[in-house]
Amino acid sequence: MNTKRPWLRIAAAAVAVAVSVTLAACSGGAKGGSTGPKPTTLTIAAQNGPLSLDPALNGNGTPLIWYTLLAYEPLIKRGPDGKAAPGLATSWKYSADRLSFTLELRKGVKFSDGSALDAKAVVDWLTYYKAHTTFQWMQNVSSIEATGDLEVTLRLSTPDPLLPLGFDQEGEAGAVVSPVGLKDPALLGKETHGAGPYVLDTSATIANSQYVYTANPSYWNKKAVHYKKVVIKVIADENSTLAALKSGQVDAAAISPNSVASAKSAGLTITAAKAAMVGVYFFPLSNPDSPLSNLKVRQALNTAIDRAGITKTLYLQNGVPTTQYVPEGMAGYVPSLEKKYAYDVAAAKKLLAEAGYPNGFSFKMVVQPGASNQGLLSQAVVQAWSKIGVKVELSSPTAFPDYVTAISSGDYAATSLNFYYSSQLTDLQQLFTKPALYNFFGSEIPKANELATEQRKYDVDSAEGKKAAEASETFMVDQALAVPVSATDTVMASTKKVTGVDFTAAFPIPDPTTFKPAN
Amino acid sequence: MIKTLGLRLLASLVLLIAVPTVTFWLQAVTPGNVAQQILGIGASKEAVAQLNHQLGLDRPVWQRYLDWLGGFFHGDLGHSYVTGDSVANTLGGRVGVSLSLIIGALVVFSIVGVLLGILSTSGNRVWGRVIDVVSTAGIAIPNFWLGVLLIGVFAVQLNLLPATGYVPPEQDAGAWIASLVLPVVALAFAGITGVAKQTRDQMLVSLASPYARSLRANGASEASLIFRHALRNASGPIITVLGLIFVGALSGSVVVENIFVLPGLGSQAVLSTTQRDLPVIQGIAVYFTIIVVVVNVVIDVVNTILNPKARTA
Repeated sequence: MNTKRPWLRIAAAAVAVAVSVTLAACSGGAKGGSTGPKPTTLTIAAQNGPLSLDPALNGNGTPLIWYTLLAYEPLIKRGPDGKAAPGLATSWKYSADRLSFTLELRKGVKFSDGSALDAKAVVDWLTYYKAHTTFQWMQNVSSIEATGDLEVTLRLSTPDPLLPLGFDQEGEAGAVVSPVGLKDPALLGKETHGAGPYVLDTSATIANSQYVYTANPSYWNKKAVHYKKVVIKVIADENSTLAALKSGQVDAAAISPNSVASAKSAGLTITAAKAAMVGVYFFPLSNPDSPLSNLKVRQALNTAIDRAGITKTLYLQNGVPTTQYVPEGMAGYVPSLEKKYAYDVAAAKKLLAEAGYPNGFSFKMVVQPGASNQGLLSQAVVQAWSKIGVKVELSSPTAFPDYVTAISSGDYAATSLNFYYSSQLTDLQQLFTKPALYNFFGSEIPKANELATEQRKYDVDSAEGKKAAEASETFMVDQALAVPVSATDTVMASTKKVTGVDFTAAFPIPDPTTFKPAN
Repeated sequence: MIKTLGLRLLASLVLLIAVPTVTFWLQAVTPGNVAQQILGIGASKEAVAQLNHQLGLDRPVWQRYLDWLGGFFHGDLGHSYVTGDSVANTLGGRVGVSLSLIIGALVVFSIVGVLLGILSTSGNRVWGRVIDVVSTAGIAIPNFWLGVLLIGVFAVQLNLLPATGYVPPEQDAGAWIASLVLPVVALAFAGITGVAKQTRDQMLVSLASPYARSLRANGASEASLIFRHALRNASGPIITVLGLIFVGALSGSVVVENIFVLPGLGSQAVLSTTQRDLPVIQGIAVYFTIIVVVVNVVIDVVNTILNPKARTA
């Protein structure tokens, strides 16, 4: 054999060239991290794209609202202290009989497409919203009228104190769409027609990948705009989100409690606030023969859960064990209710025996897809129930349509639940009264309707309102139609380039219009 | 050769109809209510029925299939159920991303695989061992794990390359290449193994053949022996393997696109599948089929040029 092997050198050289070409290409890449002039672009990451860019069709609560919030100024803007402050409306009030609600609009406001804000525009928007949304903010509104050039009056069929919540950043009923936008609602899925600080740059936006917003030149409150451009990147994989944060590609994003330690060690700033109740929700009244229609059975299932243990394992520093539907600090929270359903396997067994099921029973439960940790939470709860002889067959659909099919089939007696905090009345209305969003089978509980009617008479944060909310909360916990397990946080991680990634009370995700470049 | 190509193209046309057809019927038998998904869980039965009617989902499946096929022959892939945007529009911006990734991977695993394969036949034991280790690693390491590892080292620790995202070449060519380096490596790694192994086996056979001995005896240089003669004779099976690995890389691209957050066809496929957005899934099936067909035809042509025996096959 030839010992010199010139071809070997050729081949080795070729590999070397390939490698160096690869490395040379690297030089253009990294841009993050350096400190220079104040950044003019804010990049945030979200796990999902919007359900729709049309505020009437988009979901709320989660990062989904970012997509509409940037472009649509709400009628009422909830400030960092949780108090309602003027947005497109400068003032609002209920009438003495609480059967009408009047909004005074800001003068001289223009939408990003140039059309002007007036009472008619708001009436048209609210009418469109009421016809298209699946949320319940407008359920008690019987008419919407312009009662002046800049005054809108809503008449109510029954008192409803939640309107100011529906009209703030989270509610999206206040995300007024311009008359031009409403002329062709099909466009609202691709373009934005709001009076917000930014406007969607449709040419730079790739649906479900990245959404680019540029400053709206006709925004009424320019001093509140901190960036020329805001980009929302859709990153489904949490590892990728963390890598993007750590390398400075993304300035802020929601992460899970499990990633907090890793994010902190990389120097990211962590902010967190109570955002959602996680647990299990039963549909007992859909089937009177089900053991779950027995109150003692449901109380036994509540008593069999080691809330502290599950919370510590699954939600680490970002969860608090709870038996309640609202978190501490929100109207309706009753500290003494936390003592109810203290973890006690023997007591749970006793309750089951009293209900006539000494040997337990079995039922089927479906896991809500998409929400983090729901699978593990469900397994933990199911395992706890097996200790008192209750066998549960879990089904975990991977996609939401499968979940909807499962729920509609009537085969399942329970579902895992990730329920964002809003107000006690929202919880009562959505979980217990009829008609309701989560009360899938329209169970009728007369007492729940009575309690709701009582709460609707007062402002949510008034003394009477709080008392009524506490009565509802006590009833809901006693009835045990659900098994609340933990009050969990939304956790935000952000880089040193950005400040103001703060939560406001009653708002489960920070508002990106308040983020600012760090000095 | 023309006849062979003609037959190939005909078979490709059949494939182009068959694949989306199978996809359609598989989707049609999967449970899930599109209208309910779009309107949300709280929507009324009437609203769901109304939207189902609007989308034409209340008509028999075979009728919907024929409609789709009719549109397909006219170049109309329909509209997304979820966004209402046309499928061509939805996917248009994503094709370039997927092509950059997949073709980049094809180029990398072809060149690096062949070179490693040749090196391993050098008789140098170290290279032989290196190839063995790399081969085993290529088979054992899943691309999603490699992707996360590459991001951790090159993007987070060294800050040399972007962790996620895609930059179109017309915007910034350097950034385009930078955004592709890590995903292409993650996707190509497993392929390198297969190509190197095949190259090595074929080269060993070629180099042991009588003609190689004759060439050496006649004083041909080792380089000429390897690249002009042995590699050319070994090329047939190597190119065939390239085609096979390429098809495998298409499915790998779905995972890699998600990790590196590339807005390509693969990530859209995942999203549309969870949304039951049938027209878009159909469109993706068509696009992927076209890519497979084109690459296979190209591989056939290359094979025919390099290997006279294939011209009559």
